[in-house]
Amino acid sequence: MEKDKELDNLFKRGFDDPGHQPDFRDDDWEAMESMLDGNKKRAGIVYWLPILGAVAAMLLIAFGLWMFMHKTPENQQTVKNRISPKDTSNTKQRNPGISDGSIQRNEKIYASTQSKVESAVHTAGRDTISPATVANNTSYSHKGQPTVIPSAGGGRRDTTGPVSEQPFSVAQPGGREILASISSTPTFSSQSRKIDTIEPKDVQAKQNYGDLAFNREKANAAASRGYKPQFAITVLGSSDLNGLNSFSQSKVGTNFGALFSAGIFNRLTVSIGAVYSSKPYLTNFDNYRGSFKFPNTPATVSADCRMIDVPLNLDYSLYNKHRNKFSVGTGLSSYLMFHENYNYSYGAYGNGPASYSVPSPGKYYLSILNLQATYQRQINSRLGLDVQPYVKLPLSGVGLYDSKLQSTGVAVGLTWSLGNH
Amino acid sequence: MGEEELHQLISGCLKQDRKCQKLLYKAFYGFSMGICLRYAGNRDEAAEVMNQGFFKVFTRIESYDAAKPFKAWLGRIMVNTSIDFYRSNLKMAYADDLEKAEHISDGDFADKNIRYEDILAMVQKLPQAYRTVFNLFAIEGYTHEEIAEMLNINIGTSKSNLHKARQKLKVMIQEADDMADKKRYNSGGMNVNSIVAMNGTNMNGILINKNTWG
Repeated sequence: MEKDKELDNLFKRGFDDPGHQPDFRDDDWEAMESMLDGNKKRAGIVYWLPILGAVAAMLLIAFGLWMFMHKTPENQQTVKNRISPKDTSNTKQRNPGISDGSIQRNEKIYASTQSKVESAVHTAGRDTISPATVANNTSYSHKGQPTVIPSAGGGRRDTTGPVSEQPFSVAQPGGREILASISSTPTFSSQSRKIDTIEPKDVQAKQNYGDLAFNREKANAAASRGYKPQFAITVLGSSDLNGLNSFSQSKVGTNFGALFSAGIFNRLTVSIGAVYSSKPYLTNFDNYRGSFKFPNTPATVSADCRMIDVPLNLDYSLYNKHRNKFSVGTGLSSYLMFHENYNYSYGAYGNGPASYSVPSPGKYYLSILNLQATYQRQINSRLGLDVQPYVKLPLSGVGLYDSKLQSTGVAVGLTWSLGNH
Repeated sequence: MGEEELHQLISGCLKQDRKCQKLLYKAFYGFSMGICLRYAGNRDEAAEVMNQGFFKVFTRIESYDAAKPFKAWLGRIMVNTSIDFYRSNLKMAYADDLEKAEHISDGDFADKNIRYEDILAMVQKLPQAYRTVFNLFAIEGYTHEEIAEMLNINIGTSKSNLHKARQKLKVMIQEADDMADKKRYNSGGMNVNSIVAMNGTNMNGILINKNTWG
């Protein structure tokens, strides 16, 4: 024990000797400077990213608000008309679906057009509105159907009701139809003074009252439908292949994370997210950038990188009918690495370090190009199942070996739609 | 360097003044490199670790408490950076052949003096896990409990690594001693400065000056 202490002291004495401190090397300071400069540049990017993100978010919010405001007057008008004190009870009684908040989007569109029609009719009793001229292909797939009800003020109230119970129109002498609710609640019309009429040219009494719109409102209806914003959150997981130039020597990685998406136009969706990625891959020793001198060149370098992948993508919907949606998209990913480890094998060429873990793994902003195709199957009005084949192509190298790392795989996820439907 | 001058440099570093950074770097280069060399395998590696340590110093200089000695703070950063740098290697198990060590008799180290370059070369020749524990225990003065916590290893592993490190160092000293004797004998018993190269792949010259040994 005493000898051990003597041995320790022998080395401590030697190391503590101030006369043997290593001489200063300019090369080391130059490396230090470039490190500090690199940090400054990186800090610049880091400094700007939140600002750019905030600007993008504000633009998105402003755009969303604008869309809501653009639509609000019509909605308010519709609601006002619907819950006019005089007709409230009747309307509710006949059409419980109207005020329970479950009105579907298509009905709203109809309602908004209806309110305009209503005012038109109201101001000029002479107006004749012809459903035959309707060319809008809006599909009213819900059970509720619109009828036009004359009110005490001469205006109409739109309402809906089960098709099977409420015939849409009543034939009148002279080949005209009275557009009115004629089911079990006729009392509301006791004060009716005037019945507006609609030409019965081509009204189809099928359950789906598609094609029911009005020529003069067609453009407005289409416009209001197009500006409906859609927000959604997606959780996804995937397994992918990672390789350098080809996937012939690829390794399997895993990813899971969440995305937030916003529909900015009718068919376009912007999404941003954070995905934990574990990417094992085989890399080339040729591009080694470290300063450590390997006694022998390793035969293979096996990398294990873990990172947060921050994708910023734009998707375009090619097909969106019934419950199926198919879209293609592209975007850029940033890899924020937090674990970067390399294992070396030397084969028959000698020995050397077995592994090396990079103390401060790098962050690679917008350095990966994303290409993806997404199939989404709607499970219910809010929840959708996604299947997304994707490819991630390198725009610049990542890691200690400047690896042009590419990945391909299939992600599976669930998308939860936020907001109104 | 006087206290006042040091504080001026630190103030400059707080403002990210490059000149002050360079002056501070130069002033503590020898001290920092001395620490990193003990933990590293060679000078280039040590320089890389040291720069990472200085990078922490320059980017976190505001966390330095001016009431405490700067050198101690800097030294701790260098040790911690060295440990971080090699953390992945520290748990590696070595199946070393320590048979030789069994035949090594404990020499008299109390009055021995070995040149700085030589002891550095010996320590650098140790496997990473042994080297780190030996440095932390024998040079820095940490206990096994502290080392176990720092390196996230068992206390038993720490003790075992220290024991193996010492055994290996004894073997190296013994071998250097023998070689020096042999050289001296071959040179006709003349008392010259025998230069003995230790056998080893990475020995960039372990030089032992026999004359300085008590």
